Amino acid sequence: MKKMNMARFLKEIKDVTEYTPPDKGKGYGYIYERLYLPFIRGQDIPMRGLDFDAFSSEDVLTLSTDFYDCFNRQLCRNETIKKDLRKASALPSAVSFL
Amino acid sequence: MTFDDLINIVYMLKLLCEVDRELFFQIVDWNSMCFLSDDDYYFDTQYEMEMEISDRLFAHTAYLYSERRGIGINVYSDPLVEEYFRLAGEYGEANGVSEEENPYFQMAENEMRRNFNFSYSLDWVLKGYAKPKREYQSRLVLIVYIDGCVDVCGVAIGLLRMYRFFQEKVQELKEKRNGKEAAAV
Repeated sequence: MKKMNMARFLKEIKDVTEYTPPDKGKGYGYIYERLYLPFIRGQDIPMRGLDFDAFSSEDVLTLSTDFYDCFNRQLCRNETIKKDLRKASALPSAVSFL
Repeated sequence: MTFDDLINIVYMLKLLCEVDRELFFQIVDWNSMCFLSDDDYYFDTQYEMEMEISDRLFAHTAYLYSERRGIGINVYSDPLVEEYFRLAGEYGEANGVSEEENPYFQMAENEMRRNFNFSYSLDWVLKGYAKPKREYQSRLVLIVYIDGCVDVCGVAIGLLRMYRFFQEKVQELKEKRNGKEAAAV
């Protein structure tokens, strides 16, 4: 098996152009606050108050993509952590020492 | 209700607002459009809205049913669709391009593919005529297999995206034509 040339590897990485994700539109922030945050907090979402001129259809698609790429993974991880905590045995009581 | 359901509804409504604002304010029932965290969402209202979008977005719609073949055929046409293919034909003539190689005819096919290839129970046909012989001859056709299950929301969104595509490209073709006329003068 060949050994990796670390010096060359690090140089190649430094020379790679940094990826700049496209800027999210202002409308993205609007629907993030008015749709996503209430949803994950379990709050009601009245559509009547939503200003449909404040965001574009592309903003909606971006939020949907982000949800599946980032937020869903995060939410699933939180659920996994919560389940693990529930399964964990109780901490020993300090009462016997008092 | 999942976040996916919520986003689909918002996306569909936003598309409707973009392509036909008047229809948007006519169709949307704001009294029922409130997603309560402690209540199940009644999808009947959403379903009715999707059906109404499908029925009213295009000026001409027709429905045919064949029990023998187990299919429902939905036909959609509009002066906008006719204008698109007429302008695309003019573009082809002006640039010496045949219909088979006309990029605007191909773009329309690709857009149909992008929007309606989401279900095995749904087929589609796009008929475009640069010089139609009768009204509404240029048309979109969706074929639904009755035994299958087709997402009505997906169809409504697909139709909205196609309508938006035709609106944008008609504008583009007109600008190209006007640009050439100005250059000729």
